Amino acid sequence: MGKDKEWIVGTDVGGTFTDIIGINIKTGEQRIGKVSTTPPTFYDGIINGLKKANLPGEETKSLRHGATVSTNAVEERKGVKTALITTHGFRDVLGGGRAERISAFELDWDPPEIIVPRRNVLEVRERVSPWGEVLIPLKEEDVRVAARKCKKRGIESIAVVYMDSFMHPEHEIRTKKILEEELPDVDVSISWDVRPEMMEFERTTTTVLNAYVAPIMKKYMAGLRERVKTDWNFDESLLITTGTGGVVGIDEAIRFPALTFHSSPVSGAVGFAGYLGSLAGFDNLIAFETGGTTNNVSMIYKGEPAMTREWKILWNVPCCLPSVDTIYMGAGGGSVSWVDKGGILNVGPHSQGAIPGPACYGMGGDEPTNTDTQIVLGRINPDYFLGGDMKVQPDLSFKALKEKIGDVYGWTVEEAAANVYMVAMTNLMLGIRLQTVSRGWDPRDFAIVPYGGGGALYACDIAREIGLSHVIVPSLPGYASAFGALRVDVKLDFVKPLFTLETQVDFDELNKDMDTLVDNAVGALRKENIEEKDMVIKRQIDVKYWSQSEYFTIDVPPGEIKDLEDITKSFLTAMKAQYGYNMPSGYIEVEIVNLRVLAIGLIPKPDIVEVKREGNIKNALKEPRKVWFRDYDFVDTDIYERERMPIGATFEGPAIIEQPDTTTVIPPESKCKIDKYGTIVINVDQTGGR
Amino acid sequence: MADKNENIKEKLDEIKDLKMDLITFEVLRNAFVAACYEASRTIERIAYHPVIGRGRDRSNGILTPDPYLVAHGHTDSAAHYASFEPRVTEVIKFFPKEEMKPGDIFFSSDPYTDGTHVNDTSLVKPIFFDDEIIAFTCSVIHWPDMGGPNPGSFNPEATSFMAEGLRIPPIKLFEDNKLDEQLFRFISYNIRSATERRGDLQAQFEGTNLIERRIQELCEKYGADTVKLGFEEQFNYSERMFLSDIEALPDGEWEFGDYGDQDTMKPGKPPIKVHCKLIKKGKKLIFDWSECDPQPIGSWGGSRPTLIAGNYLGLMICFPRLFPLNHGIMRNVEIISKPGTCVHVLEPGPLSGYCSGAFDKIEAVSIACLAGPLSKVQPWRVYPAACSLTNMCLGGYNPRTKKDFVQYTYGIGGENARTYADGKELIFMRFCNAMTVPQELEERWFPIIFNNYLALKDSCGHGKTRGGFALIREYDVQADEVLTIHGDREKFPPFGMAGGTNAGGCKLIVNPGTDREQDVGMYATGIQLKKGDHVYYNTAGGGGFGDPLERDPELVLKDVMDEWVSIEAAKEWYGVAIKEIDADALDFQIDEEATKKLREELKNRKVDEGHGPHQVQPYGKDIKLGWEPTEEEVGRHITISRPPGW
Repeated sequence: MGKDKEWIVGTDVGGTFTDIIGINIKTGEQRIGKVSTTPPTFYDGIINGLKKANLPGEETKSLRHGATVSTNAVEERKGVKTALITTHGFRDVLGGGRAERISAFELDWDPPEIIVPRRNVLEVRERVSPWGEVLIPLKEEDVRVAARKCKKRGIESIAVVYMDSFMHPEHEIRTKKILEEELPDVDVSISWDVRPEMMEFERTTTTVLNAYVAPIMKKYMAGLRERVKTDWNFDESLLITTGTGGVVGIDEAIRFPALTFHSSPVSGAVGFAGYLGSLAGFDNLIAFETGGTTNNVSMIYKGEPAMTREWKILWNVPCCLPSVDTIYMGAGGGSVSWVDKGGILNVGPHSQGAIPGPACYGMGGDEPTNTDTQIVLGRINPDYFLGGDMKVQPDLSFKALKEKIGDVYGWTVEEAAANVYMVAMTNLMLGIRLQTVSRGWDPRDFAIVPYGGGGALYACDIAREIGLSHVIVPSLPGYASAFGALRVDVKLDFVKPLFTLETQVDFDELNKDMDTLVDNAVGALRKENIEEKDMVIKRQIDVKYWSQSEYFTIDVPPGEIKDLEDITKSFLTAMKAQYGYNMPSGYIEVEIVNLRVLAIGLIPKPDIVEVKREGNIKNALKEPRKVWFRDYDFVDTDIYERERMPIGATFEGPAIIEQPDTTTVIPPESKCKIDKYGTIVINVDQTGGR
Repeated sequence: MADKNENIKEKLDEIKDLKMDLITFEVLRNAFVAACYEASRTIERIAYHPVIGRGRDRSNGILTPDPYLVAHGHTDSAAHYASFEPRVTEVIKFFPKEEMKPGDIFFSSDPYTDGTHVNDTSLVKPIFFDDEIIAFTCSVIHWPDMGGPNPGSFNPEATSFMAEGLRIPPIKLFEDNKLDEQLFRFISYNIRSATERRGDLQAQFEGTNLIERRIQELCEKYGADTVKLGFEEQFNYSERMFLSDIEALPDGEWEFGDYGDQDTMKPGKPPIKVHCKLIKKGKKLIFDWSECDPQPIGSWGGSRPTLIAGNYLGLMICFPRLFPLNHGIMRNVEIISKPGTCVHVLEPGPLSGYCSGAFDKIEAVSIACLAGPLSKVQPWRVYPAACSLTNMCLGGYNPRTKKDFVQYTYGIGGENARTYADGKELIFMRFCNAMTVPQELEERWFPIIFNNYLALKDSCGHGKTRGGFALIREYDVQADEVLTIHGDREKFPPFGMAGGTNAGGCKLIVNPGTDREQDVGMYATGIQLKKGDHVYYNTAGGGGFGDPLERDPELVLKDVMDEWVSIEAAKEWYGVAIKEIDADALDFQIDEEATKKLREELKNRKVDEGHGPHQVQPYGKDIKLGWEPTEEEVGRHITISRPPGW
């Protein structure tokens, strides 16, 4: 054995940059690296980054990786040629979807093309009833015919989804076996493995998505494992981040790549915003990431991320795995402001993206974007763009805003910018508020954690608009997803649909089903090399009123379940809290929807250590300038260099804090402190608050 | 950028009258829609019946005290939009505003005044701020049953409203935010599965209160006067948008006609004509519906508010940027109708079939009339007719759940062709932003087991661009139950335009292929199904656009490979000869020689003119485009009418 293995390393492959962060669990030393992403062999970039950050592979205990490969494959339609085998007569479940429109009026809008075209949806005679009785036995010859077609068509991956298969999985299991015999080189995903849950369309898309990216992930993972071994001397635990806000072993990620969809923003929200927010003393947090084209917003409530059961990877393409709910809003740095026919100012949803980008890039984009607005308002320092690495032309920002907005309304360019800013900020605020309010949470109980390039430009005003008091600006806002990967546990989820009225529950059956789920969960954690002492098994039951659409997930206390009294009580409490009412008793029955087991495997998570940075805050001051603030107009403003701000320092707004990857805007009448981790904690509450 | 090339100077003139600062206006504009959307989401989450929870048959609006419609939610049901104003007007008629108190909520369901059917019930609440009514909220949801002879309350055989369930004038159902249990009990004695409706009512109540809270918050923040001014400026804004669209149209007169399948209760079951003449002069748009057929004896027609709703919806579809519909648009359109016609039914004429009957035709004909002027300036906004609504209801006792049930399905099918692209398949009708209920859920709630959920081959309207395809649903009945359908578009399916054909029509057959086969049609009433019966139902496709012989043969080949279109139809309709080399390998080829010959031969064929399946519609055939738009050109004009970020 060589040296002790002391490093835990997180990586995240983004569209433009690959981020690396490593923390030494003994010394707390932190090393970072940012390099260009290298498609299609993304691991080249990872190796470059690991080397740039000067992280020693042979001294690394665990590598945690955010694999955006699967999400990108779906978004860019670069998955493999996939077929779907389904129950005879149900060929258009996938294509029909939920028949939803994006808008009642816009007939010219088309949904994204379906992943498996109709020609490759193949039917097999079989049918089980909703109660698991076989109505039509599986016609194996149909499966073999389908296999023959797949072979002739060069299909690389097959999804198998039968109606009500979660009640009687034998047909899917048998089909998989036949396909493996007939087509040994083709990947097969069956819904029983991927998502044994009710609702045929949602189960189908989830399984199809899994099949669509499975061969790509397999290849990618094998390549990654190989490269970190040969080029970085690393052959230890390699964990992949998931959309649940956890990690799984590389084998599970290969078997079940749908787990990794949208893992990147999720690990940022949970492991970065959630962790740093909690260190600052807050456990209700709004994770608010703003990049070049979109904003990602997730909620952390009482330390736990808000989950969704139906995360839409594309329009009408839900991936029905429990997933941290992330909403995307199109108001990034590149979003364009424009005037509509009714004479009203709009911001977005069109974006100039990275090319041609904001007007100030001078790459031919002459539309005013949010970045241009921030430059005109004096908030972004054009001489310090990306720490001075990128030359931008502020005069082009002024020109675009003047011509496209100011001249239309007869405003000065500054007035134009201020108004554009207000529209953009208000839209963000409404979107964020909707996320808390629609869950029955009071947004005022939350703190915002802005990160990504642009979050901290808006966060304080959004906080004031919503009426919440604190904004928490962590250091390293550009490494959120890579950092987040270091701070999450192994998480796996098991489900058994039940769909029974409370009064008709067979408790023997229910306990047996729950035990099976727990056994499966423990077995899966063992496979991930988790020891018993590090296993947390959470038993849950989904409950709702009979025939209602949405259910609540209620934790079940340990031991045999003898009645549902406590569970019903918890459900009614949750119902009351979120919707403000319960039905008069006896009016409508309570229904048990699913049994669930959430399996958590605790793994070592490096803590960040306290930063030592002393000195006088005055030494962090740069040349002051006039900056625009809402309700104050342009005022003389202190500009700080973040890297030179001492720990423990307190100061007041108005202030701008600059660092190479982001700018923090602190409005007048706010009180700020740099905490021991280097995080800026801003109290924006003019009434004193908290 | 949609407006990139428009004249900036004109915009300047247009907004100089804005009486408030632009940012407050923008904040309020979004906040009004957001409040309605939040309320609709709340209802969706807590409602009991899947048609509301999953099917989204619910809407929420904010109105001024006058009452003028300010905004509605962006996922709401379009058939409800125009009912908001008359609903509140009717409440005020019986309960003067001066006597209203905070916490009063009024319930009603009167299709003669609100323009829907009895199932669409509403809660209207005055929103108070500083002891003054600042606004009204109106929330509409579809109750799956309102009593009457058939589960679901639809009754194609009704000859008056008396046979269509409970009609309820405005009543004060909540006082001080408390439900009047006595009144509710009275209603519940007259409807099926009333316990569930108690839950749906609760959902509606929560949604209504949410809007109230939001408006009061806005008043606290911006002041009641600003909010009031905000309402007015919404109207002015929409009006400016609307007039700028109208002004761009050429002046002239256009007419269009379409038919309902039948007046079921009239001897001989004659079809029902819907006709409109559109007059455009300067900034004025007049829709004249006087030449529609007289009021049918059976249930098909709609009251005047139905006409207004359908007409507005047509407008909104042609000008989607106008979202949300509000009073600013309404005050600029003149709609003429003759009392006692099928689009202006008078009491006691039946109305439960208004949606699949009159409303759908009014919407399609409004759009088709606008195709006249639009074809010259925005040729991508020319739309043939699409799959319409069918109200299909099952009811009875489910031995498994030990509960009475009412199931309600509104079918999905093919959308109309666009002038530059095919219609979408298997999508909701144009006036509905709903979602389908999963089969696996329905099977657990209702005693049926599905054995088919797939598209119907060749059901599209053929054309240079074709319509979308219809859906087949088939199921086995697991217990004795009663079936009623109120559909249409069987004999007069969605029409095509400019040489494109009409689509294939709807069908409902019980026990097909057996000696007990019964073609029950789209007006089946109270059909007694026995355990073991089999039901076949297919919806309609969407109308086609342009001569099918001009369709790109590669697109025809693609449709054949996807099995949307048969090889025979490819030959017959499109004149494209396709050779099947190896279907398993998807090896199909266009026989270029044979295709050329076929197309030459078919060039002078006369496709039957008429309103039936796959005929060429007489009104639609002469529509001509100013130019043929490309997908890129259209792409620049696509606007998604939902607020940013949602």
